[in-house]
Amino acid sequence: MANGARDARREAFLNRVAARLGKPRGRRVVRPDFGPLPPQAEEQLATPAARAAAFCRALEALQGHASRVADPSELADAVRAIVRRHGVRQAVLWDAAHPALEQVEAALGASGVTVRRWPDGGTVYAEACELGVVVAEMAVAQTGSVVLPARGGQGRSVSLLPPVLLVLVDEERVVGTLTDALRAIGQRARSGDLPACVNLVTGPSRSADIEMDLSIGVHGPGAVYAVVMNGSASREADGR
Amino acid sequence: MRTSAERSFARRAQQALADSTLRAAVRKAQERFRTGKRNAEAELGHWEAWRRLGEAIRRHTIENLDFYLEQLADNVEKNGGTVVFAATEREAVDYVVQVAREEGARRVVKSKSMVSEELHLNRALEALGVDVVETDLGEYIIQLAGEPPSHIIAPSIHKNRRQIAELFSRVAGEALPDDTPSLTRFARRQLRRAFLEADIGITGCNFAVAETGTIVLVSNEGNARLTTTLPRVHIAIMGAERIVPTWDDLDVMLHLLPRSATGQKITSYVTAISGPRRAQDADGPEAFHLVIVDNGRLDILGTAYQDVLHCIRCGACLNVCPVYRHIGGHAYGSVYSGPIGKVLTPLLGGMDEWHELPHASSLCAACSEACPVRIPLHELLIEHRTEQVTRGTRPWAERWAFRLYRWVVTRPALYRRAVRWARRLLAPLADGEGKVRVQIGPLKGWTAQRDLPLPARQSFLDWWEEEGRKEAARQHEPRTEGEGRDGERSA
Repeated sequence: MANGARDARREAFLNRVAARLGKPRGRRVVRPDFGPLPPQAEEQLATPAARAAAFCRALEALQGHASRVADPSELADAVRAIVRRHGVRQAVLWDAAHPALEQVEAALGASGVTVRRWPDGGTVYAEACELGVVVAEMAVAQTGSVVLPARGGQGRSVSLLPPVLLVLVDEERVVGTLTDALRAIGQRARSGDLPACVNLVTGPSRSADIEMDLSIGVHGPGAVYAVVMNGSASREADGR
Repeated sequence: MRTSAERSFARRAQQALADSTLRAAVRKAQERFRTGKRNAEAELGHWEAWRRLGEAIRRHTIENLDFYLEQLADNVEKNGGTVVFAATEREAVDYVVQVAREEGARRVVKSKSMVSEELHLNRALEALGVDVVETDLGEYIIQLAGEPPSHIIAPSIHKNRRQIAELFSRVAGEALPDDTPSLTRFARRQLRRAFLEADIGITGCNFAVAETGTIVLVSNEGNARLTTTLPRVHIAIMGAERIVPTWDDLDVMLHLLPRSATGQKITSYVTAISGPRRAQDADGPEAFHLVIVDNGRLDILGTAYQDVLHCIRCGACLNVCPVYRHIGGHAYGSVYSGPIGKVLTPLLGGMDEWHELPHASSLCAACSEACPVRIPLHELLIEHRTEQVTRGTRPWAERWAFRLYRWVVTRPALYRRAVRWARRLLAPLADGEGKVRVQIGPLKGWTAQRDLPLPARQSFLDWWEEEGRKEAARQHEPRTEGEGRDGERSA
């Protein structure tokens, strides 16, 4: 459709809305203050450790798997356990500068798993992988969710195509409530830092469309692992 | 709007009532959803406060819809997307078809969108020779069955596993077992292939955030993510009212929607899409189109029904409705079923065609109580009925009956005589239990479904008068010592 025709339709549409509302087009609208949100229990979680513990509980309640590690060797153990349990032969990792990703890469390699960093191999390779590995920008104690923005080497496909997902979470990135997470995303978005896609992922893919019977892993990953690393784990991995 | 060839609501409802499998499935789904919602509300706490916030946000947004739509459109374009405003079904469909043509699309994958059902989009694309695949598990099931959705959030609740296994076996060319994991595995394999081959992905839109030009999809299966990740073009279709001003408002909606719909704190996936992929991204669509649809919605603005546009499509009103419980979604014959459908469909599709729907209600108001944004659904149903009466579109028999009724009840003496006669007239028709069960003449509408008890021997008014006389007589009796007013011995 030509731009001219599109603009004409848009103007006619918006003029009609204003006319139906009995208001002048092009007026300045100030969003009112709708008042404070009701209090939420997770606002009381004062320390990163308390938030991390709550995050793990929330994820486990949704049939996800959550663990907390204190050093790189524990992270490697967690990775080896996933490889054994799911028969992982190929894995795709986000290409991001995070020391824990290198730890995971090394542990996978040592277990004989083929590893590539996104977008190496593209959709075809990611589709053939059993495991995708990403790093959470934020995690939410209240819901067991992780925030995954899509940016360059941090592709959407990595957390979506393989049937097993491993999310690495820095303990200090666990926020209390969904409100905290959305506020942070909104603030960055308003300042112009808005990726084409941000996903909030909470546990495995689920459906109840067959007789209201819960089935896991219908389209997205059916197995979701989160490993929460406390500060010392990421620092040691960093060689600091 | 119309999803059934049977044009009579009464006959559609009869068919549903005779289907015991359907009724058991609907009951089970209703109970599961309703219990889930109740628990989720309690777990969050302060539910009424959240509802009020939700209502205030929706009201402000709809009252300034032109402003927020303009802001949204500008920001989507800033993000590199194309925005199209479509006044009619035709305009919306034509645009999608045009994109499909320009892209040389052979296959389209869709994630669940009620608005696309409203537009009969699949039919138009198939006429073009495009293969359209519904990818939500429930939508895939009913697409194979050639049926419309029966519930806003659970489209295939009316199908049991045996029927689903039969549908899938036909596609597979072999007999599949009917356990959930096998059926799910089969659907995953089938649909994954479709995602990888698709040229265009079409989605609906749960919320559009005006301040950043973002489309938010709230889902559980992951098919909405695949639809917006693998095909090279993404078309999102939204009803013009599916919009919130800011991310803070989205936050409130995300507290209300999943809890009200499925009893979840949050769905497995909340996907926020702001335009096509960026230059440095290796996946995601290269082109993003947003189609903003009127299709009768704007006519609701500025009327007594404006609040219906606050709806966030959670389905909570369906899950508490006694009528929906017994007849399921298909009997409504329209894309939107249950209480929200009864209010919305006559507004979008015209009252002439949908005059029966506002009467398919007991007006118990459970829907209004369940609504997370406090839409007074039962009052809007009464509004619909009122309008039918004032327009004079009710059947003549009903109109005369009410005229007669008014004439009688506004004349007290006549009314009392009529009440006494009612029993005498009906008595010959009653059986031994004092119930009228014969189905004749104007009585039939009632007695076909229910027993009509005979009016009492003594009318309330006569009883009241008699009691008054007795009371007066008691007042004038001389009281004996040590007796209370009402004849009780005092201690």
